[in-house]
Amino acid sequence: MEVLVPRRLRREVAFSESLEEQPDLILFGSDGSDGLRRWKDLRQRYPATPAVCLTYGGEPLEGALVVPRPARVDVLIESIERALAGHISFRHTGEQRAPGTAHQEQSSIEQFDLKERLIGVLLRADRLATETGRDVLVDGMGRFLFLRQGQVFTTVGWGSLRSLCVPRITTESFNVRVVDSRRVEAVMNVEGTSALWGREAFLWEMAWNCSRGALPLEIAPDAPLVLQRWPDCTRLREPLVAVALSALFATRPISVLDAAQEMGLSTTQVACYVTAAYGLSLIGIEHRVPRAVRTAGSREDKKRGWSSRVLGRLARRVASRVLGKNA
Amino acid sequence: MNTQQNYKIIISGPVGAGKTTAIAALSDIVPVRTDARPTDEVAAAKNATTVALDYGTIELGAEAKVHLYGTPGQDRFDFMWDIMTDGALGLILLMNNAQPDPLADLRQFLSAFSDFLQTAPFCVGVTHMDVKSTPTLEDYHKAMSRQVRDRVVPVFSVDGRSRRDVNVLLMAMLGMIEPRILADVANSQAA
Repeated sequence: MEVLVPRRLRREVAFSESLEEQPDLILFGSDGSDGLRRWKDLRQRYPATPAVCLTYGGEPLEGALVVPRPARVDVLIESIERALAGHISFRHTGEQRAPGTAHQEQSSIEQFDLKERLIGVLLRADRLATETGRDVLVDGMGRFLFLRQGQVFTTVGWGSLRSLCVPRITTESFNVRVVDSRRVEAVMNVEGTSALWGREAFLWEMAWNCSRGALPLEIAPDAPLVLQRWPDCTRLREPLVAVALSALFATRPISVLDAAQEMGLSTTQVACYVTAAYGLSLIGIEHRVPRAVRTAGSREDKKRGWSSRVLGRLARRVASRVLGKNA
Repeated sequence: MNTQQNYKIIISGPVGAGKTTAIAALSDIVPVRTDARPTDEVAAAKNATTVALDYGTIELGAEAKVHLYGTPGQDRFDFMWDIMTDGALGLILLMNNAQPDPLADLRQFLSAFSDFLQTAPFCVGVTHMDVKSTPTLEDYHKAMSRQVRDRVVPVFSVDGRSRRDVNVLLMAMLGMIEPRILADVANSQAA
């Protein structure tokens, strides 16, 4: 797990731009046997960025502040403060060599703002966990810090969220960069301070963004998949593709590759959908002989007089309303 | 000679599910309503209720028009349901989650429309989930799977006042007729 918090706070998802940015802070979770190698890669990429590493064994990592996990919230906050303070003094040293400019002053303000936000959200989540006696997932920190009884329990990826009960979720209005163990990168954008999301919609968006075209390991691109339950599409930010693909996967078993071809969508779009639906246990691999399901565009529909042209016109009309454009 | 093609979509569900409001959210015209002051047990919940039908339209240029019909919710009007569904393209069922037993309501409506639903696309919108969060959408799916065995039906949480929510519901119904149409729209919006 690695979380890279971009310097500039944004309100729109901007993958390519954001990937070029230097982060202000790295929160790195040293998972598995290749944790050290991944850390070296990160350090090489961002040599001057302050970093806090959460490790199970507490083993030292060069150039990072190591925190054994699960970490107490106050310990993590203190570590973040120390890491960022070091970074600020580093910048001040730079200013002494080259007299301050408006841009540098702005960076310091943003740095302070970032620290306040990070610590503020952690404190709020801790208070929420204490008051409700329930687990809290903190979004805005990358692959999701999980608080239980005052302790920050590692971070969790979308795959393990399926079995996790998440009654309350705090969100924060800054973007984070997520790099998971499969080296899939994504930028999550969460709007609205302290807004509470529905669990399913939240997990859907998270899985969709983390996929970026990668499929879960269990699903081969040519495996026939069938929809077991529709996602709650009214709660999704972009329901059009989700509705279209749900309708397709509901009618008959079909693979990712065939679905992309049949729908004229990119395989990336279909993979994102399948990853999100699989993460929520809404879609599964069809092992049985396909049952005789009612197919789309049946004879009865044609008897009712639907023509593709009228249907297309109506769909465009409806879609424009969903997207908030003038019909 | 008028060559405009006419289609109809039915919106049904129990009293207070938001059918009238949903038609207002979908319609291009000010909906025609047949509200009256209720004299039965509905009077406790509403000042006015639909006694004949609600009506709205979606205009698709000179070529076609979609007529939206909302059924009255009381089951004593169920004789109208068969008449209204004759030749309809599909059905949107709105369920009021704040009712004492919404799953029983669902079963009743699925039975009442069973002939029509054997061949027609339909979807379910659950309203008032902010008032009462149970039964959950999963409960609706389970309840429905006992009566509708051969397909996976869309069930969404819906705010009947939200134009977006109601249109997503309608979109799902269109998607069940021809999913590719929606993909084409998604692609054209992205372009």
